[in-house]
Amino acid sequence: MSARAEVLARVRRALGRERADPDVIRAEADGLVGELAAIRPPVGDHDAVERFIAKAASERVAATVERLAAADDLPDRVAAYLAERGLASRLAAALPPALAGLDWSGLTLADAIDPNEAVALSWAEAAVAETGSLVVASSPAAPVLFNFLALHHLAVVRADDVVAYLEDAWQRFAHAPLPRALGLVTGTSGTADIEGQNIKGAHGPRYLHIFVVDRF
Amino acid sequence: MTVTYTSEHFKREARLALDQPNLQRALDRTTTLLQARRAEAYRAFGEFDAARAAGSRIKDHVLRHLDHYLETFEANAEAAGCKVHWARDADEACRITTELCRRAEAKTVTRVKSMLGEEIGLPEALDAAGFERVETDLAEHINQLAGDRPSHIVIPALHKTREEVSDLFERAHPPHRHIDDVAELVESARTTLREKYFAAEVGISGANFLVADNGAVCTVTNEGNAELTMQLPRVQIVTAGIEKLVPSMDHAGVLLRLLARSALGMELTQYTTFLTGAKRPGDRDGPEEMHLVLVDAGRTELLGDELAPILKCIRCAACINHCPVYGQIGGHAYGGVYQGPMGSVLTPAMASLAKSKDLPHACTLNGRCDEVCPVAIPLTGLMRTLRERTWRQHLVDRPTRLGLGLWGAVVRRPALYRPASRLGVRALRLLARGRPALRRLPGGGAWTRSRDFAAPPPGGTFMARYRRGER
Ligand code: SF4
Repeated sequence: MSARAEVLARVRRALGRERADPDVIRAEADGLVGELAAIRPPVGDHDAVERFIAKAASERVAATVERLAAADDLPDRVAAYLAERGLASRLAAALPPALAGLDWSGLTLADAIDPNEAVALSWAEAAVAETGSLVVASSPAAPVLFNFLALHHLAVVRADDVVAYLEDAWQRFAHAPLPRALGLVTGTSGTADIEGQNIKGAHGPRYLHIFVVDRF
Repeated sequence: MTVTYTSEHFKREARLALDQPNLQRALDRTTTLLQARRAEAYRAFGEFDAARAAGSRIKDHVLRHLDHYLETFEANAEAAGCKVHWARDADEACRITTELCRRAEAKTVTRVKSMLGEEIGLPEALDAAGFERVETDLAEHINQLAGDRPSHIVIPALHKTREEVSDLFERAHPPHRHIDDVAELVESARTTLREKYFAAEVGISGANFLVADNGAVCTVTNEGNAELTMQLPRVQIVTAGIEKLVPSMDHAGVLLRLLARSALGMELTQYTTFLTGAKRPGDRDGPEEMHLVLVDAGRTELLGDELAPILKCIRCAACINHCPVYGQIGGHAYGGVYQGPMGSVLTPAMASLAKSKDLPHACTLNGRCDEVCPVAIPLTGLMRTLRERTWRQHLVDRPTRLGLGLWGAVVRRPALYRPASRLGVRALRLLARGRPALRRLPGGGAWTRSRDFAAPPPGGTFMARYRRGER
């Protein structure tokens, strides 16, 4: 007997029954998350974008956030971020079409990421007000490493893409196969493994800077 | 790979732990902090009871339909380009994993700690097969350098002080200089590990959840090491216990909210990632192959047993952080890979009760673990079940059996018990000479070695005071 057949047979023996009806199981499973309102933290009456910004900038998530009225301002604001911190004007950037058309002439953009890259700019498909999380999804235009490797992680999200809850975020991916890597980024790479001291930049980003953009 | 973890020497190890002031300090600081953070997170959440009832029901539901969810997950994961393997036991799981590494012609294997990996002895199996194994969790990196085992399922190097870490890093990390500052120590590990992430041919992790209806593997970390371990090497392998399934993303969400709050008092860990399959056409990064090993290793046996509720465990460690016994003796005394209340149930349940018979007894039945468990596992109840089994299987030693037998005979006969307890109370008060507690007790050295024995209050036995109307 194959390991697969044997494990499944052991499960059925332990449960003392043969196959159950999938429709019945599905109905039962749906019922278990039917009343989400009672088991989610209240997000409050705030506008979701404001709540997201407050959460992301809170002590626990510790991101810095800038709200931009128009995407046209983005290249200047990225340049300002680098200048204020004395960083070189080169960065690795994974730009979706919505951003690629902007005037980036003041900066050197690399479309591949170096193992010791200082700054990377990436695009978030959505953001979650409940937790202050960015939702990043892999695609040919959005390599995964841009979110996890550089010391400074710069991320762009559209204000219209801010949702209230986690469930609203994955609802957006429900109608196609899930992106190969779907990530919730809620802060930076941190550790408290040595004497409980919180240190940022354990493996990946030490700084997270988020641009929330109202208009494209 | 069969590992020689053993809980046989629990009593001796526990006694040793009580004599280590460093360990005592580390335990005290960390568990107090984690308890406070968890309490604060749930105060802000406001919905703990309802959320925990929902989490518990989801886990019960999955266990009741485990065959259905395993098959559904397998079909969806394979459709997304992940190869699913099945392992009956620990040896088979390690064999499959090392064979995949060999086929990938791996020299270096990076790893994200997973409790299942520890349980099945995967680190040892990788070492024995000759791969350079690189643990990427900072704490596990420290443990690997020290040759230590994890002492806590969430904070595995809780037992190490900064000075000890400093010595280890000075020896292992070029340019071998002495560092005192914690931030600089972390930076030194970052530099060393960064090279390994890029050098590795295979990356191995566990899973926090397996999502049946889309075949996704969910991992949560604060360090973000899972992301680098899973995305950079050419081959990615996930090992996961068969109990990790959830029906859908929404069900995962309910449990994610509970997990982060219970473990570290956070709303969500810093990185939560769902992975489905290998690199897709056009992708510029990601592994060429993704494999998942579904491991039974004793779980199906538990499923049909009274101890089945322990299969609901999401490895949050809240019960450990709130356990007064763990708070005194730390993790290593438990011998296995799991600690505290969940360890005292899992280790005897999965390995052998004969070899870990002391674990279910290392409990004061104070019930704090039951109160904090986010999936409502009746931990003290399960420990009682195991205690009964040690009794029935004649694993309790002769003096204890005789003593308990004698005790039973006396308490069942009030005519004997009452005068005996009157005598006892008088003797203890005499010994205490008016003090509220005894530091030493003749014949009770095992108790008084690490704590006082409360002297009986004035006024005689309970029955005597009850009759006088003291309530
Ligand atoms: S038994 Fe409950 S409290 Fe303990 S680790 Fe498991 S889920 Fe957490």
